[in-house]
Amino acid sequence: MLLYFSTIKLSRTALFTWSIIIWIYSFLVAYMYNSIKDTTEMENLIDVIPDHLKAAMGTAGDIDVFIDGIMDPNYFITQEYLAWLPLMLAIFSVFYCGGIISREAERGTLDLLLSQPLARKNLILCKLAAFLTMVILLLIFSCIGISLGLLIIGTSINIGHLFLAHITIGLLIFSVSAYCTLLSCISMDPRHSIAYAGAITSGMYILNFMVPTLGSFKWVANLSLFHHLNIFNTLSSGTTNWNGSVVYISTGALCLVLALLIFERRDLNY
Amino acid sequence: MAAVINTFSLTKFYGQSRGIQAIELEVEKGEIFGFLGPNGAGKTTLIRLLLGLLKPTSGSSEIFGLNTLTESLEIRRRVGYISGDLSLFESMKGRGLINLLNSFHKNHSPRLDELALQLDLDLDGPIRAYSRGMKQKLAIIQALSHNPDLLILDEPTTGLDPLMQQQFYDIMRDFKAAGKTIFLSSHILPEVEHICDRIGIVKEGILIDVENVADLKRNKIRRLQIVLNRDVQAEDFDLEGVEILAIDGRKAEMVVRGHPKMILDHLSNLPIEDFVFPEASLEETFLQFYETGSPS
Repeated sequence: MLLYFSTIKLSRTALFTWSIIIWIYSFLVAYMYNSIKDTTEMENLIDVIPDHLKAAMGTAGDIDVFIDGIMDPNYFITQEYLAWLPLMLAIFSVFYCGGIISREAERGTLDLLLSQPLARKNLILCKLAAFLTMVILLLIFSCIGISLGLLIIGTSINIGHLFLAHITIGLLIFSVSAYCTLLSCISMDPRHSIAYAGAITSGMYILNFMVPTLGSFKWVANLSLFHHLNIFNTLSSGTTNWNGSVVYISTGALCLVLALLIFERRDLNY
Repeated sequence: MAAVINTFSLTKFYGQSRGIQAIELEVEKGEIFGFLGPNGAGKTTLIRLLLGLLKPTSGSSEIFGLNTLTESLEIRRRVGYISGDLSLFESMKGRGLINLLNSFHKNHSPRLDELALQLDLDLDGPIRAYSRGMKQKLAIIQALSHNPDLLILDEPTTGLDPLMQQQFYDIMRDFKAAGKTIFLSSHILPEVEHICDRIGIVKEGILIDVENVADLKRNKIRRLQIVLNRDVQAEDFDLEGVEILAIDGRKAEMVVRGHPKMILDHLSNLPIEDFVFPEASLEETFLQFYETGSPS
């Protein structure tokens, strides 16, 4: 347990910085809704945006909903904030979990820890648990930020749905952090492991954006973890993409098991 | 005496590169065993194998009769380790680090402050502010604080000033006096000579000899410089175990192997004007080992 708390303590600067960013961002976006909620010019403006540009904005496939629902606080919060939150947390995962083991190896502290009676699997689980705790804290800050922002301008959304949307994002981040951890166990050079994790994550994110352009190859988008997120539906109606949740949990569990097996069996030679 | 460390034809290759080859070693309880060799000889590879950080290519090893591969966790409960390539969590405080590491042993040792006092180290300072020597002291404290039965030390005195080195040697002697065992890897000959009971010499991954330090001292090579009151003749030193290196008029320099009594008896029959016969060092003996694979 002390390793778990020490890991969080050692990451307190990163945690503090990310907390502030997410809290301010979520609060400002929610507060900003006040400035557009009664503006009719917005619809006219969106109408004249070329389709491919709309697709690039991540509204592909939902254009009608986007135009009709821009005044809906659920849609506004989704488009302006919750669509970006997974990317922000994925970047955090890449840099943190992409070096979760390899960074310790590079610093030389991996030898110090593993010369103690500490099982390798416990080291990974402890550090990953510490990271996921930080993610949960950030998601809680995010929920608080949005709720507070909307409360101040006198607009309300379903808090239960908001909470559910954050849980879905949390599951996505679990799967991202698990494959980043796996890469960190495969390559003992943090530059390589973080680069691989970053390439895979950005590849999946871009793939999700390319859905409208894929034509008959749209099924390829299923390879992107981001494709299984449907935050607007969750936020507006409380429905969850259970298939997506299963994908996140199974991908995360599989990568974690592989990470534990590989790290347990590999030579610590660097 | 019971063996604390046993290796059975222990071999490690990194792909095609040699680590160590067929090491057969037995370290007995209560002794200080020096593992001596130049950089790249395989000392650290052996230590990493013993700690379960590396998997052997073939062969096996045991500590306290437990397999280092399958029972590593149990072994590490009873082992203290100082790495040659020292790295600590820089943003922690000394005491915080020791408490963290001790938490794995489930043993918050009352010896912590005693050791800190002995080594004159402030445990409440941030590690990033420590000098290299202070970090080395902290590493020594973390290795000893959970009261291990075996110490595995990889170049442990790096960064310590001579005074602290002496204190470290005293701590090692106390540790040994308590019936505990030390496995020390080093390339510093005086250190090994000073505190070790036995020495294993490794060359290019192969253990070429294991000797008692006392025996080595008896057989080691000494350099002798003499000045006669006449010109030196080569025949003057035609003795077994004596090899003349240079003759320059009345001066001569030679190496002498074995017990010095024979050469001293011989010198008493020569017209000696002066001579220098410095204290024997293991260095010559080890250089001989590395050149020929044997001490003579």
